[in-house]
Formats: sequence, structure tokens, C-alpha cells
Amino acid sequence: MSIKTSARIKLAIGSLILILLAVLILSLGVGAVRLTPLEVFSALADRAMKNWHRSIIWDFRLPRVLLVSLCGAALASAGVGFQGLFRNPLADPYVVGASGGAALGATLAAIFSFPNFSIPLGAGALVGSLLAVMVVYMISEISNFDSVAGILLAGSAMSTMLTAVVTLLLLLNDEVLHGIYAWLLGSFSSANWSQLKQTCILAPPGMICTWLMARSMDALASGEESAHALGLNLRKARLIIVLGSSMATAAAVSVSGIIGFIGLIAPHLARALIGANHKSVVPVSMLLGSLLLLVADDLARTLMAPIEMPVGIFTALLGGPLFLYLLQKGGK
Amino acid sequence: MPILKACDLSLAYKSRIAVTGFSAAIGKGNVVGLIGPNGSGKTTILRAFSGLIQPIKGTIDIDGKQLSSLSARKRAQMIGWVPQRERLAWPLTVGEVISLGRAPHRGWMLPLTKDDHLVVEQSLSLTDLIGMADRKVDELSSGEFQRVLIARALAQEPQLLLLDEPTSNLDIHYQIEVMDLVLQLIKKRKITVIIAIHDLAIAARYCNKLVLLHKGKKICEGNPCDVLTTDNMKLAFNVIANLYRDPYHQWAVSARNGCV
Repeated sequence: MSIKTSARIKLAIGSLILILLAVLILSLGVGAVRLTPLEVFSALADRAMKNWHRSIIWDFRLPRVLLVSLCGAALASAGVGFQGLFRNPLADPYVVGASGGAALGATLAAIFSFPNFSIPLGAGALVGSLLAVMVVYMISEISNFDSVAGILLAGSAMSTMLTAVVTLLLLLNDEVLHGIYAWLLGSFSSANWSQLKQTCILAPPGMICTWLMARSMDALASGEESAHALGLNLRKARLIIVLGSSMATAAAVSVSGIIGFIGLIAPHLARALIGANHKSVVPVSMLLGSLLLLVADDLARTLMAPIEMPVGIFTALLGGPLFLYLLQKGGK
Repeated sequence: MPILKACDLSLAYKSRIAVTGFSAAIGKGNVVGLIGPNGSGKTTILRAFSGLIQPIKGTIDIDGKQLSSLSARKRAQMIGWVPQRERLAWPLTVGEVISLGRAPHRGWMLPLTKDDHLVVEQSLSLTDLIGMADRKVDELSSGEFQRVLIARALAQEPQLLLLDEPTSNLDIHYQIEVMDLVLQLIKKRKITVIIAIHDLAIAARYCNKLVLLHKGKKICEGNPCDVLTTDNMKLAFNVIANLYRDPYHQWAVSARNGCV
């Protein structure tokens, strides 16, 4: 990498971090009670005093804002991973069935949990997402469609099927899963510190996994044969990528439900900003994913306040047109 | 000891047998051309040499070690492979593509060292790509891209370089450019090159050893003048062919169909 390119990447990462920090502070001030950045800072610093601003910030908004940025980064890194794995710019956790699988897994975990025996939602989500992706991958490999059509068809069939099963389960288990329906639409309205802790178990390892596979994904971009000739162990590399991306997806889905399109947009913006090298695409996508989801969540909780809308609506409104645009460009 | 020794190879795609009973020993420093009509098994043999397909019978030894016993990484340190064509899913830059050739030495996760960057620089200069490291590969001409693929294989610092129809997508200017480059590399790096090639004139001019294949079997091997005989050409290609020295004293081939 030349000095010019690496300077550009450092500049992009540096400015994204600054923007993200600024948006984090602004997001802490947004809501039913508006706080200026100054009030936010004083509430953040004010650990001892029983200031009511302090409670808004520390008990509600800070865990929410952190959870949103972590989920945004996780979805973005899963998007990079799935796009790298399928060599397809249209892949994302939702399109390849990972989100649907995670939602079904988490729902099943909730149904089969009893007071003295509870299955962690994250574990159910991880298993569900892994299974769904593997099935989609195998179908798209053996189908006669070209790779773009194969994945889109297999993935959307899988997603529709999984979502239908989840809806059915919810209808049948009405009283147990009252809260789950809102969750499924994609929302951070119940965010708290324990959810944040739960997400921290799967999301960071998943994101690190994906970053470690950066060079492997560069090689995969050249096609299977060339990657093989460069000495990449294809089976192992694919497994680690699927695992990393599924962990990140499961972490996000198990706390926030299905949020589409972040995993699609963030990697595209990242490539437009700093090129296609995965070593930089992964971190830049994660920063962009955090930023996008934070903004979407801010919109979701302020536009029709005091009613809170599912954040998934805003990511879909943002991402849907981009998806169609990419599709009409011939999947390039 | 030969750099590559193939013993009684049988190769197949799924259930279709493509090559049977192929044996060859290739000494270091040669430029070997695998020639034959379409479907004779040239590319299949090359793919077996690169470890892409496993022989259903027979063995391949690379520098005295059995190919199938080598790890993927060890294999990639010894053998460089240049595909006929390649489509990248994302437009990496020339430098990034060539850097991938260092993965067999550096691994897939550790950052590249100064030495690695030096090798990448050398590969760039050997293939005359200096100053193009930051260009995106989708902006290159097909001749330039072919050179990038060769440079990536060179960055692997292989002892054996396999080229699959390196000239078939190129116009004549780039064909000559790429083949001149290959000859230069052999002089500078002392590596062995095996080329699957359908262009007999280029094969005769650039290879010092040819292996003629027909219907998945080896018919003949040796110097161009021993292999490209009228009888062999009639048998393999069903043409009347003559090998002759052109005014520049290089081998050339003329061919026509039908009876004499």
C-alpha cells in the first residue's frame, strides 16, 4: 500500500471516529427531554449527585446509545463478511438468511426457556443464524443459477420461510412472548445495561474474527482457484468467516430483532471511501454502521415522539433504494 | 533431481476421465509447453500440478516431495499459478493484488513486513508495473492485468510457475510482451515454467521443451523440432504442418488442412 493510500485511510478512520463521538453525544441529548451537549457532559460526569438528568443519561440513554452503536458495527462487519464469503455485493445478514435464522433461534430459545432453565437468546440466535447461512450457501453452490441469482433466491426464500415460522410460533405462544413481537420489528426501546453486556459476549469476537479474515477475503475476491493457488485453506477460511459473521448477526438480532440494510450499506460506503482492501473495509464499515444506526435510532425515537417507531423502518427506507440501485447496476 | 515428476497420472472431472497414464519429469530451468488440441488435457494437467484437482491415480512429486502431502501454504511457497482469466469481486489495487502473493510466506493474518514489501516492489519492477501500484485492477488493459497476475505469482517466490493459456486473451503485441517477460524471468530468477498453450507458433518460439497431448494421452515430448513433426501434427491436430526457422532465426509453424 502506498503512502498516499494509507494516509487517506488513516484520515477516513480518524474523521469517522470524531464524527461518531459527536453523534454519540448528540444522541444522548435527543429524546423526550432534550439536553444540550453541555448538560450531557455534566450528567455524564455527575456520578454521585442525584440529578434527574443523570438518571436519564446513565440508566436509559447511555446503554441504549452504546448498544445501538455496537449493533450497528456488528451488522456492518457481518455484512462485510457475508459479501466477502459469497463474493457478492448484494449479500448482507438479512439477504443471506442469517437474521431470519437468528430470529427463529432466539424465539425458540425464549419458548423453551423455563423459570429454572433458560437458554440464552444469543446462543439460540447463533445456532439459528449458522444453520440458515450454511443451508443458503450449499443451495447457492449446487444451484445452476449464476452466483448473484442463486444467493438472492435461496436467501430470500429462506428469510421468508424463517420469518413465517417465527410469526407462527408467536401466534401459538401468545401469552409467553408478548414482548417479542416488538423486538422482532427491530427496536432498541428496551435497551439496558444487561442487554449491552449480553451483546458484548458475541459481537466483539465476531467482529475481530471478521477483521482477522481480511486478507483471506481479499484472496477470495480473486475467485476460488486463485485463492487456493495462493495457499488459502478455503474450507477453514469460509468456516471462520461464517462463524464470525453469524456471531455478529446473532449478537445484534438477539437484542434488537431484525434490522435490515445496515450490513448492506455500510460496506458499500466504506468501499467508495477507501477502496476494496478488506483490512480497511472492515473497520471503516463498522464505524459507518454505528453512525448510520445511531442516526436511524435517533430518528425513530424523535420523529413521532412520544411514540417510538421501530428503527428497522428507517434503515429499510435508507437501504431499500440503494439495494434496488445496486441490483439494476447488474450486481456490480 | 527434476523439479516436477508426474507418474502414471489419471485425472478426471467428476466422472469424466480427462487424462490417463501421463508421466513426465521436468528438469529445473526449463520452459515447458503443454500443447494439443482443445480437450486434450493441457489445462487439466496444469490444474493437477497446481493442486487444484486431485489425481484419481498416480502421483505428482514437487522437488522430491509428494504434492498431496504438502500443506496448502507450503505448496503455494513452491508453486505459482497464473490463471487464464480472473474476475475480481471488488476492484483491489494492483499493489493489493500483488501483495496477496506474500500470504504463503507471511500467513493470512500477520501484517506484511519490510521484506515482503521489497519482494512486492521487485515483482512490480520485473513485470514493468512500477508506478501502477495504486491503480485499480478494473481500469487495466487485459495485457496489464495479465502482468499483474504474473507479478502476484512471482511475489510467491515460487520455484515452479504454471501459466494457463497466458496469451489467449491478448492481442499479438501483448502476447509477445507477456512471453518475453516469461523468458526474462527465467533468466533472472532461474525458475521453471510450465505453460498450457494452444498457439503452436508461440509454443515453438518460446519453449525449449514441448509435451504434445492428444485425447488425454501424451504422444511425444522433446525439443520443438522433435515434437512438431509432420506426422505428429497430422495425428494430433489433423493438419499438414511445417516447422521452420523464420528470417529472425526463431521457430515458426505453418499449417493447413487437407491432403498434400
